[in-house]
Amino acid sequence: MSEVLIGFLAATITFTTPILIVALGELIDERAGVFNIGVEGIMLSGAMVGVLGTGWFGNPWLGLVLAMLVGVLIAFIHGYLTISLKSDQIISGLMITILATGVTTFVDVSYEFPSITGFATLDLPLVDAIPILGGVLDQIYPTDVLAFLLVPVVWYLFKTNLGLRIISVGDNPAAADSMGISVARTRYFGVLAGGALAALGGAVLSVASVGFFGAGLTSGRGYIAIAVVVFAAWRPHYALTGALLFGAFDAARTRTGTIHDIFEALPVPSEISGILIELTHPQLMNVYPYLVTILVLVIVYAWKSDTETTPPLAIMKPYFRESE
Amino acid sequence: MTDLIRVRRRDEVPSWLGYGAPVITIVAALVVGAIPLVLIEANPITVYGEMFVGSLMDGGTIINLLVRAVPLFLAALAVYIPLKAGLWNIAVEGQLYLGAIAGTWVGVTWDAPIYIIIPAMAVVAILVGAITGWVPAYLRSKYDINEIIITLMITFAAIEFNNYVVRGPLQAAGGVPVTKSLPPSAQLPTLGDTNLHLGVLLLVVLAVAVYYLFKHSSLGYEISMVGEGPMAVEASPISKHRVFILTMVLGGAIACLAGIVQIAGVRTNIVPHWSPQYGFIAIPIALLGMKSAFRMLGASLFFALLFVGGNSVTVTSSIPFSIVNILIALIFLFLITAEFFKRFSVSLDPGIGGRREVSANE
Amino acid sequence: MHESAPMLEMSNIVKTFPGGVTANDHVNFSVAPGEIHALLGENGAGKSTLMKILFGVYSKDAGEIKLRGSPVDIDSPKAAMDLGLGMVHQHFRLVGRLSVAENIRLGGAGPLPDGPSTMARLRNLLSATDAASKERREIERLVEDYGIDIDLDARVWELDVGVQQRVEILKSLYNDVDLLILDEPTATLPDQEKEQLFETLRSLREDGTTIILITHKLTEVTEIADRTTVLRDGNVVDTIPVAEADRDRLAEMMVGREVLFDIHREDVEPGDVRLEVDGVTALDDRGYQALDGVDFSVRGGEIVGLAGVSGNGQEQLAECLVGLREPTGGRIEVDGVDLTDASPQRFAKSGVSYIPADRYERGVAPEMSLTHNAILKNHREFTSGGRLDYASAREFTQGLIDEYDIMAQSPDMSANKLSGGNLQKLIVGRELSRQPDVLVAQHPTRGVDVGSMEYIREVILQQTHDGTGVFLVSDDLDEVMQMSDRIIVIYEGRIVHTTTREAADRATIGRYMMEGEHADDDGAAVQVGDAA
Repeated sequence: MSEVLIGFLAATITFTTPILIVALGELIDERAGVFNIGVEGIMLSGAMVGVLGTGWFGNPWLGLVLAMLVGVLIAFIHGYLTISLKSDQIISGLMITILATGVTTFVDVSYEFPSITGFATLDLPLVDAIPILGGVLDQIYPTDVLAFLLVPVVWYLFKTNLGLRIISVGDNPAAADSMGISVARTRYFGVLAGGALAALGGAVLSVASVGFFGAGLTSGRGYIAIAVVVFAAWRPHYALTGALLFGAFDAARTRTGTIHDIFEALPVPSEISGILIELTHPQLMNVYPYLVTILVLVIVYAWKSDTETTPPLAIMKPYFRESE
Repeated sequence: MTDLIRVRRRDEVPSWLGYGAPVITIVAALVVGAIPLVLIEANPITVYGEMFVGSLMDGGTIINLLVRAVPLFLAALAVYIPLKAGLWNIAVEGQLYLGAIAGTWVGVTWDAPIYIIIPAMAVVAILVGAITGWVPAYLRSKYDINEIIITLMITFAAIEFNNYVVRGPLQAAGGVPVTKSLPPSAQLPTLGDTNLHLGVLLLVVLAVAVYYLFKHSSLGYEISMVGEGPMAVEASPISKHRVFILTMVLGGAIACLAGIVQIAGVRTNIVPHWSPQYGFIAIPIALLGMKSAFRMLGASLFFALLFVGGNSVTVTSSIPFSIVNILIALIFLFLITAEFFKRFSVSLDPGIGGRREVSANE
Repeated sequence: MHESAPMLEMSNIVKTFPGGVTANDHVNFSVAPGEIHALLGENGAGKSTLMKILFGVYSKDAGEIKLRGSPVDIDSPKAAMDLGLGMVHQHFRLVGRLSVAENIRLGGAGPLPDGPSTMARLRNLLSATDAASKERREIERLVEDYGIDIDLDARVWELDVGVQQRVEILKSLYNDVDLLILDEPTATLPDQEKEQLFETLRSLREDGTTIILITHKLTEVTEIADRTTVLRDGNVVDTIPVAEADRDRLAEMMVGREVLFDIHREDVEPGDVRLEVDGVTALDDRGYQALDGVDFSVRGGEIVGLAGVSGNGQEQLAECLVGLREPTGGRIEVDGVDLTDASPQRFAKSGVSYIPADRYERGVAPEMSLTHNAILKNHREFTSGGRLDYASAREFTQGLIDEYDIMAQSPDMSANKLSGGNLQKLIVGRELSRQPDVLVAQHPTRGVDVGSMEYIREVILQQTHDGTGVFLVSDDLDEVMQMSDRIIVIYEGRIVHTTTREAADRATIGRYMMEGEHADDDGAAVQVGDAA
């Protein structure tokens, strides 16, 4: 029994990590007022470059770094179009995703590197002895630890001056501008940071979790990250919760056999357990997180809408000075 | 960007730019798209030649063109109609899947003559589309919840749901993730031996209908006014709420219809990820055709040509199909920059100080 | 007053906006060090523009600015702040989500403790705005020194307006301001908060800070300012010490005596009451009290004009009268029908026509054609069987074009290509063609060329012969006085004065506009504030 639990927890963590990283990046980006629907494309690109880099350098960490650099580059395009050229953020973001999908499919990475050795799971002798937690830690990767540590880092970011500037240009760019803060530069920071993390998330997915890159590897996880950001009401600690939710569903999806065993063991009529089993069909499990997100959005907006949970007030609006 | 270049907001769009923009966009995309081709040692001229001209020479290809254009054009309409009201419908991709599933379920489960079952499939698909269109519209109108996220979630839920359906109740025998196939009585009739199915008529019918909608109908008038003057319509008899709901419902209905038409006319069964992102590619098509439905039809045919031509060069010149995606993305990119140039004029102006002094409208 | 070099000298400032409006026409303005100087004028006088030029928000077309005797070139708010200027805007530049302390030194903006090197900048950016730092202590010291009562860690969105304004002032103080500009600071303050503000300003002045107060309220000028400069239509009328000013003279300087147009108002026998407004209260978009119990009525064939300085509730009142804003109390009746909470559609169906203040946002869909826009209020009349008869709509539009002398190539051209005046004529034509029972007209001739102006006024006057009751909101006092049969004056959301065209006295109306009920007080002797 505890084996099952440990396996489930470890899988949850590993599935959570890529989404968490991307979500944290997009969180910073959106706080600054720029919506980047292209994170799916950047994540894909990061996944591809991560594998490429690991293959070329023989070192997964370098692969991750290379991926982040590429992420920054792509995000720069989006930033330039939306911040400097004041274009529509949706169109620009969609373009990036389609472009990235095309390029990552065009470049046949699996020809060069059908698989790479990424990271070894953690091996911490001291911790091994701890019940459950030790077992879990045995099965996760250093990148998972990195991702979880990122949460307090982002949380702290919003306590620094830079973080406050980000919040201000996302909520009231005119106020920031009047204080002498460069709205454009701060927004660029947000977009580029978001891009770096989106690519990192993709790279962690390909290098750490699965060990290869194939076309369409991310399967919409970038978009899930966007949902997580909304779900989290733009707060880092809730982003963790949101990502974990999706990670748990992902992990449960690969363990439905066990779940079905549990359902069958329940003292309920077989029609009901039959329905329950069908409702937790592995493929169907993938649907629920999106429906839950819609539900959460409705609750957050329709019921509990106070200033703490509102989106950055100036998001998706290009900033023009009064004299413009 | 600041000291050297002077950016001025335009008072009006010069006509060469207004009309020329789509053409310039496509040409620019083709030029940049030549780069990856060169990198893999392919000759862009021959590739483009094969894609655009060569494939048209073959009579069978023209039929393929029309058939390919059906989902593209309908998906574009599904984006276009809400967009005219100012709403983004990004659920189109998902609605394609959902319409396909709903219609296929009817076609596979119910035994009835063709002239009953096909309309039934269409009706069910349309109903599903109406519902999936209504939800985001209502949430946006009533609670101001951004429809982009909701429709995006619908799309992904639908894609995943499709993955379930091919392994669940509708699965064909044999354990492969495929649904049961539609019996011949549930398939769209075709012209003789060709692939030209009945659904191609929709190209004409819907183009005319949507053209009529926006050119002559009262509803089209209301939709356009809501899209172009959301605040002005508040004190008028036009109900923004009604327009929001109607456009998204129509969009959803058309998208779901496109889904079942694709199955009943081309595929006959459902597999995971059967749509090569028609729903997303519909967006630049809708943008290119913003002026009229016929322009959008033209854009759809062009993109269909990209697909069909892309397919044929995969065979003849062994170019990966993803070049099509790249071209599409480039078209997007140049569309955006064209938009920018339509709104602003840029000139080199050394010696002017750093401030951007832009002449404002009233 | 001490004789010394002026703190600020603005000479020959010219600023013209695209569209031909000259906001500042060779303005000369100087401020002595350590004084409180009130910049007085109606809306459109140019006071806000002048100060925005000073603060680097706008650039001047011509003229020179000297600070402390040396010429300066201010091209951005940051440059202004670096020179020791501070500005408290009418719409606060605050980030509601953040705390007071965080807003005061937003993201570490302001003078860097270690100087402007890259390392110092980086250190600044990455350091936390936390409680124990040197900067925080400095803020605390400021708060104490000026006796400002405020919770530094409260989220700004929770605070009420007066406190938020204090945060704005603290921002400038933290930046070592020498010259503080306040733009209509009491616009949204209840009375006790105003006193608080004045106390703060006095203590700032004691400390040597120079203060410029942009205002239209005479009471403030007499209560707190040392000197005042009156602007009108982009020109300086005069600069005088407040001790020598009396309210009548100030009001006269502000509103002037010239009559620009000779509008013939024929007598029309007023009919039944078409619009009845009873005790209406309402909030503005930020949640503050905009209307505080408004009562008046408009009869058929009558023009009731609302005089008042912009920002006293006119916009909100007009919005309530067409259904775009829901009153929080009171009643609105059109032809005897209670429409208080009705939707704009119902108001329109009940015969209320509307000329909005912002023609490009609320009047038309700018990219659509004239025809599309002309039938906005009655498109169903051109519809049968779901089909819109564009041909007759175009005819209708062409009819409007001809009747109202609109300079347009064709009914198919897009609305944003029309000049302001012509577009306004189209809107007026559209609204009047419905033969409304009530016409609510907001600034019908604002930003409109002279020819169109005359035309529009004529047409509105004509409409009254058909029994329409007109409610005219305008910040052009001449227009109000010449066109209205009855004039009501609004001040801080209340009707403070009612008069007829015959009995109206410009100076008196001016006084009520600037002082509200206080205009009743004996204006001859003026209380002088604390002498410098």
